[in-house]
Amino acid sequence: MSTDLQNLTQLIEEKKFDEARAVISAAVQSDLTDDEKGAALTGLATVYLRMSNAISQKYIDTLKETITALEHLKKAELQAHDTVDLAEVRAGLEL
Amino acid sequence: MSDRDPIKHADSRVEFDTSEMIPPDFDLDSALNKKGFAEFLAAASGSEAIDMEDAEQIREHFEVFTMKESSKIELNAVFKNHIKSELGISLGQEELSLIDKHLERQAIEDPKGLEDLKGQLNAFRENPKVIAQLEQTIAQFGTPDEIEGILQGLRKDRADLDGARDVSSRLGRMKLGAQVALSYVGMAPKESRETKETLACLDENYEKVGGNKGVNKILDRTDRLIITYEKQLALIKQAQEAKATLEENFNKTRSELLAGITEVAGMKDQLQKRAEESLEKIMKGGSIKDLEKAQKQFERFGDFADSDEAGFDPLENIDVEEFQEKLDESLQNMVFEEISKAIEKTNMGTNALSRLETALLPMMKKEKVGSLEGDDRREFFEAALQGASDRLGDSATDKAKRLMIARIISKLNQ
Repeated sequence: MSTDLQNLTQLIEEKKFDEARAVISAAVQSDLTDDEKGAALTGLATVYLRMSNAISQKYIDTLKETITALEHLKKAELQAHDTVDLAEVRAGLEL
Repeated sequence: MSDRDPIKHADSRVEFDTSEMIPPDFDLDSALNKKGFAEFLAAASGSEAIDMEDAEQIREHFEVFTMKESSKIELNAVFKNHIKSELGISLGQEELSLIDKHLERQAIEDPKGLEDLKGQLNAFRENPKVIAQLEQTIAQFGTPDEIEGILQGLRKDRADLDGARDVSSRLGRMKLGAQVALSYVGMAPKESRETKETLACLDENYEKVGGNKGVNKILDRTDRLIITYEKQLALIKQAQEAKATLEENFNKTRSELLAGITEVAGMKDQLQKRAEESLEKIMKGGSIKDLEKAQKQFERFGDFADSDEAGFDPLENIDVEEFQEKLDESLQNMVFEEISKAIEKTNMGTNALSRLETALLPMMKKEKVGSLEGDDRREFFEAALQGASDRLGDSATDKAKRLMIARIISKLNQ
């Protein structure tokens, strides 16, 4: 296996996706053994998975932050209700 | 673990998080009976020193073996279900088997790398579920439309309250302010706002609410609620925008990353060849269904080339116009034959027109015939029906059918 391909995992770990892609493209454009081709395709899928997961994770983080903020607001909303003690007023009015 | 030198795969520093996969009731004999595991064990470095009584040690190898097997299945699925659908093409069995073989080697030579891949596969599988769950949680806070509705109501209450307070200030009738305020908090039914009973009730209870002070308190609360819901709305819209960004990012990733795939391993040539072969294979199928499938595939390849995502045109080596003409001709001939057959098989008599229309429906309901749609499609059906009519003989039934067909053609033009 070529040195470049051996470095592929390292590049992916360092999130150097552009370089990883370049390595895959450059490597497989030359004549490859079946072993190298298998490694290149696996590497390509790994890059795809990592990038997809990174995008999803960012969205997941945003959703979690949104939920935290919404829960905080919900509390504020409840407090707004509590400020005017409606139950007490209602009881007093006997409506 | 035994106190002997453990049998390890290439990277002896690897420590796996095995909590998820090792069954608590790990059975050594069952593991050894698992297809391929004995060979896998034998391939590990130092396998000659293996202690077949050391269940813990073998269990570690079994973990790597299991991880490898599940990674093979999942990685194949990623290529088949994602890369295929996103590029409109798929790897052949040969390329997929090269990936399997690579994972076999990786499990022996680089188990840490395999573990990393498995982690990515797990995240890729689980992320959509996590996202769906979080989106569902956010949905419980209401849709933007629902919150807009609440805000609209609050703003109206606020305006009513302000208006009422103005009026009441002028008229010295604070009960009007209280009326709206109490309606708002649900203490007076809105539908009876104007009734004397309600006004009397409000008059009586005005002081109990706390007079002007009470009304102001409710005003203040309304203001704060408006701010809260405005923030809530902004957050929910922000989450929706993040989803749009997510999709945009995925598209960008596809363009940036998968554009590279087409250059991989001379895959461009292979993929073009495969596109041609798949069209040819479908065309040879010979049924209307096959030809319609070919049309869809052909259009998909065309869209794919236009999208710039692939960085290449799968139809580059095909004379597109000639292919479309051939496809249209074959499909039109077959549809025409089907129409003729349907007319031939249908008997006249009661409900003759309806029965003929029903018999023709499978063909006539097609929104496209090859590349023909809209007026072109209608003109084709008109010509096909006319052609089928011309084929009919001079019997009374055929003459009747000809009339029915004329009626169907006239309905086509309505």
